[in-house]
Amino acid sequence: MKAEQPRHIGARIQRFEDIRLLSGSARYIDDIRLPDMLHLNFVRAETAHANIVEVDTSGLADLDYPTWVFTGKDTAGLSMKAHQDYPEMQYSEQPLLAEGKVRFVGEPVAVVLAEDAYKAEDAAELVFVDYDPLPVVGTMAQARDPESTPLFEGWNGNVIVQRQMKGGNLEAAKAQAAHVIRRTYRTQRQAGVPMECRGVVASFDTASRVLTVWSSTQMPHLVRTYISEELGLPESRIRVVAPDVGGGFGVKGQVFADEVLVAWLAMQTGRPVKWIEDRREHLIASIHARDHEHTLEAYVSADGRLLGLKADITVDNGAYSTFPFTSAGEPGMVGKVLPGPYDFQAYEATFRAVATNKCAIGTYRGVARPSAVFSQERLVDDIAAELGLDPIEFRLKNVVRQFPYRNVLGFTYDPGSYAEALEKIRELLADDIAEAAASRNSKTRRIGVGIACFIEQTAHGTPDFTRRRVPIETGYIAARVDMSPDAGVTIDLGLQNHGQGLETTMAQVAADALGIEPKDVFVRHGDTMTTPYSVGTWGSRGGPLGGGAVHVAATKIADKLRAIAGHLLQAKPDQIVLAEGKASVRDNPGSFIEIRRLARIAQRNVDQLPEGMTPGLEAHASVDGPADGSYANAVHAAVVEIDVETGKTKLRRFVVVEDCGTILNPLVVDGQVRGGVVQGIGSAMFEHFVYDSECQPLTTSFADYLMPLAPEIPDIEVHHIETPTPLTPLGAKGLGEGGAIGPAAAIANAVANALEIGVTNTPLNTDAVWKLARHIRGQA
Amino acid sequence: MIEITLEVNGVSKTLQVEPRRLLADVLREEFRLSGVHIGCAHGACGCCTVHLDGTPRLSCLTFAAQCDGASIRTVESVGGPNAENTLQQAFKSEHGLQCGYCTPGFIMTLLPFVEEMVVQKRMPDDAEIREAMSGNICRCTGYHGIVAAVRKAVSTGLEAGA
Amino acid sequence: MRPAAFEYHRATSLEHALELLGEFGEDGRPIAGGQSLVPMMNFRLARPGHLVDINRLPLDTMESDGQVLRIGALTRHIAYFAHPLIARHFPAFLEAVHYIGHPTIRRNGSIGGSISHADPTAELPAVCVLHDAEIVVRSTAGERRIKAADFFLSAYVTALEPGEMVVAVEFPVPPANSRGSFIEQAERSGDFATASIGVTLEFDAGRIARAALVCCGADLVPIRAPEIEDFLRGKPLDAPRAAEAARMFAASTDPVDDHVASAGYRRGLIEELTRRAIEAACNKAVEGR
Repeated sequence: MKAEQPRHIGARIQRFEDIRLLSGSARYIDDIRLPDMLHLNFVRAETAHANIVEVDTSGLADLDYPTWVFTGKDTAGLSMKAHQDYPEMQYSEQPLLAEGKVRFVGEPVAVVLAEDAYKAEDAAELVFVDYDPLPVVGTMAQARDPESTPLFEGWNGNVIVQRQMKGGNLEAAKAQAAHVIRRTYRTQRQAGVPMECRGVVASFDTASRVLTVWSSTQMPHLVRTYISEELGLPESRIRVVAPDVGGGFGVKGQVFADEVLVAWLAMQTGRPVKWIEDRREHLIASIHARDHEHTLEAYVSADGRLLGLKADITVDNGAYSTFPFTSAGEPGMVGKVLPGPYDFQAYEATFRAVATNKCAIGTYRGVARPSAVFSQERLVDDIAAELGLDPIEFRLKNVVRQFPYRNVLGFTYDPGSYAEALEKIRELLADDIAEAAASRNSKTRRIGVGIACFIEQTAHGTPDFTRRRVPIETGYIAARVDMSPDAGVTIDLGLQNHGQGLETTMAQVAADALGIEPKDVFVRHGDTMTTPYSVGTWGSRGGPLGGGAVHVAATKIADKLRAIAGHLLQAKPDQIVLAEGKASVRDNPGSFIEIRRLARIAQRNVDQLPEGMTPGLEAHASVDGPADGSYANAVHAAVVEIDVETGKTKLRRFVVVEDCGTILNPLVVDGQVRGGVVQGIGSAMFEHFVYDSECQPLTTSFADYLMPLAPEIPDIEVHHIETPTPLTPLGAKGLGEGGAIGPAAAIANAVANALEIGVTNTPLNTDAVWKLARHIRGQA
Repeated sequence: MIEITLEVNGVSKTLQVEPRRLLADVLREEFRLSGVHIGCAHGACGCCTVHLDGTPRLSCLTFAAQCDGASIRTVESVGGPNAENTLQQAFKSEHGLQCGYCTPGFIMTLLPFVEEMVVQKRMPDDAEIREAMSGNICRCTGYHGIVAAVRKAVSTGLEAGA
Repeated sequence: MRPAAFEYHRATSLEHALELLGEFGEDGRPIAGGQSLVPMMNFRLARPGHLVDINRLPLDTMESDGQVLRIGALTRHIAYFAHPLIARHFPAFLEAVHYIGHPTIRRNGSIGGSISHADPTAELPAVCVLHDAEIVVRSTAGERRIKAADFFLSAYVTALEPGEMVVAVEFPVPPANSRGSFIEQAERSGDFATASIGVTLEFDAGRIARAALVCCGADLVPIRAPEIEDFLRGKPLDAPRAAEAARMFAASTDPVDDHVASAGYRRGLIEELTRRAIEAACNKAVEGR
């Protein structure tokens, strides 16, 4: 049963978690200190591809303080196994410490531990590694060359996997087409870069045989399961705790080799072990993102209908496969989502992942979709330009309007507002569009407007992962809700909060179900000892699935409260309304009992319970994602002003019209959208992780890896359309990633619009834009 | 090891430190001030900003040994455990923070800016606010809420002074 | 990312600092704001055995006798904003300072530190070269004065000998009929420049009497453009033929091609910024600003 009138869901409530974050009393991974703790420093590969001849640790013997050193020989057999169940896939295990070979600059080769972090760093400098270099595989083309040196023994070339997905009759679409438009688009390699680096602390208690691992992770339960399986310990004796986490964005949404390694070292040394990643390590050796090339061929009718799409997708995966989304996840996602919001029924995608001597690609906000939408929406603008159609008109002509809609690959889209969002953006941008057109006369200053229209499959459920055969296996989120005798509520939540405001939004959900105030709800998360098993916070599932689980569990307690109240007030339970701390009889507000009183009766004065009712107010619920997920949609619009002679591109305006279904808290939703957009602006204009031809990383500090700073960013305007989905308990769709998905496409389209030229690559930094504006300067 | 005396958040303490210890580490380890965050350790993100004799300073580019006799202020002293300072409250109401990791650095960078605007009795424009925070990186908020928080804190200060 | 061990020495006087630096030679480094040196130490790319802290020395004064502006090595970047002499006589300098890093860097960084670090695209080395400043360096052996053009040898390499430190930078005060401009472009505000151009010019009866131009981004050090300075002499202020000068200058440069920017882009940017900087300085002269 739903709450009568949502009072708290949808309210702009300030966040409860803010006080500890603002006052300096939050506790992040680096704030974990244990007695007798050892500090770990990695010795990392300095060459991209080489056989290890020798690791010489003899220099440590001369030190006047104790050190512990471990190499791949000590950890032999322990590894990260991220296998997707595709028979033709070439598997790549990552040893916890390199065994015999290194495959990217930054790969851990040895660890040195000491009682002080500075000393551990000093000591690590005394470990010398002798390498015998191997030929480097540095580009997609090199990796696709069957003659390239395989990164792994037994491999045939360096294509990890190549597969196809298709639907409809592509040949017929092609035959019917009046226009065939073929383009190749490229999105660059990036890093996710939460402001807090990663870190792990582990301690093994010999008395209780309990291993405790603190990690700056988005998925504590999966870390626990992986450690258990790899180290052969029962999960019941492993506790994984994610303390306050300083940003994740998907980067911390994988299980890392170092999480297993630090746990193992704590057991080996008998001392607590702490590792705090430094910024250089984070940039070169946590995970990277994007690095895609897509060749698309669209078949379009004479009257501007999209008939079919053919895609060839390559992702430069780097050396290893990350757990649990694997090296096939990124290109497979592109193949799956390229049909996007458009209504056409012929499609074929060939996708492949290739291995190079670089840091592995992992999940980062948007996961493949910023690249997919960049290509999809650039293609749409290129088609409109070729046909001489207005880009918004072309989209309106082709977007899906009837829901539920079964797309060319068989995925069912729940209701959205694709056309409505386009209409809204056209209205909001009318003046800018006119100004952009007027600037065509200028040879020095151009204005451009670009949009990106996209959908995002959110809240992926178990069926989606089963289809993809990935080791994540499932996607549900669980919550346990407990009301104490004083009517205070504790939620033990399977999600982990690293900035999303879950301690507030989940309290809003429970408060509505139970008729109490959000401030009386305490949300606990991130600790496997207290929270029910769940996959963690990633993939835009917090609101729809976590919120759903809290709602379902809280409703079970509410039902019990209603039953007790009905018994005491001599009314039927379904006549009882829970609101403002009271259980009242519907249409008879004078007849009520305080919820506080009911809570006490349920657990202390149990003799007053209805006959046969067991004491207690505790409930567990888990909510899995719908079979095809729930599709959020948005249109992003960018207005750029380009200095034709310097390439300097000013982002004048950025507007979002988005639909994530039911909004739990507009303050939080707006914040998620805006933060995501600015990360997307980084993808579009600034951020590029660069390797040289020997796969040496060149952007290893914040002086080189450029994230957006405040002066480059305009206010982000956010408008909402609310189309609740029938597929999740509260009607909410996921929204954490959406902000990051559209900006690269919208900004590239704006640049293309301003300069009247096709744009195929990101990032659009000053150099790139200057080159694109060559023809306007009258240069060859 | 050398002996230094630091006055941190109003309390003086004399301690022995190795010269190479960064002020950020000494504040975190010896003074247990976990609000001092290290985001990059090369002076490019602003997370570790504290006040050294009243002026914002990157504590990852400062050796504690250099600070003998200095007065240092960290976020813990700004508005107490309930974050009662006007700027902190404005961060809360305007959603100027999400994960919170960069937040103490922003607060310490922007406090003197807000105070200066109130002294000058003027509301800075957005460009000026954004320039004031150009040494701090926030990866969560897109800066929008932080700009709004500064505006709100200045306006609260102006009203109080009016 | 923490520094290797070193010994710390707090200098109590300039003489004390010089004695210490003389004693440690190559292994000693003075530290002022630390905004450039400490990042290098944290990455362990710099590992001096001894740091001589000069922050408490009285080297942060700016004084002028009307002919020369002497800026003490410890002068923080933020000080220029409020200094009347800079505002009146050194517009290119003042504009350049706006491009330095961000507020916290400007409050703590010093001119001695910036020029000793000698980043090839940093603003203050360019300003020194533009204004024919003299770098005043001291060691226990005495004082040396090095022309800015001779001070910067390569990226991060200066003419400083072991045991020497910068104590001041002396700028000849430009005549009253002088104007200047500084324009820089970087990917983001506060980043080191992709390219920057500084111009000063003296004018007489509506014409350019003398010009100076400095460029960062074309070479490993800030460079002057003597041919362009000659070319501009005698050109009218209202039509300075800036575009032609800019084209000539850009064509003479051979910038690096790297992951930050291509050589072609750098050259194009140098051309455009040169044109704008010359025009801006001329406009100021015409408008009497």
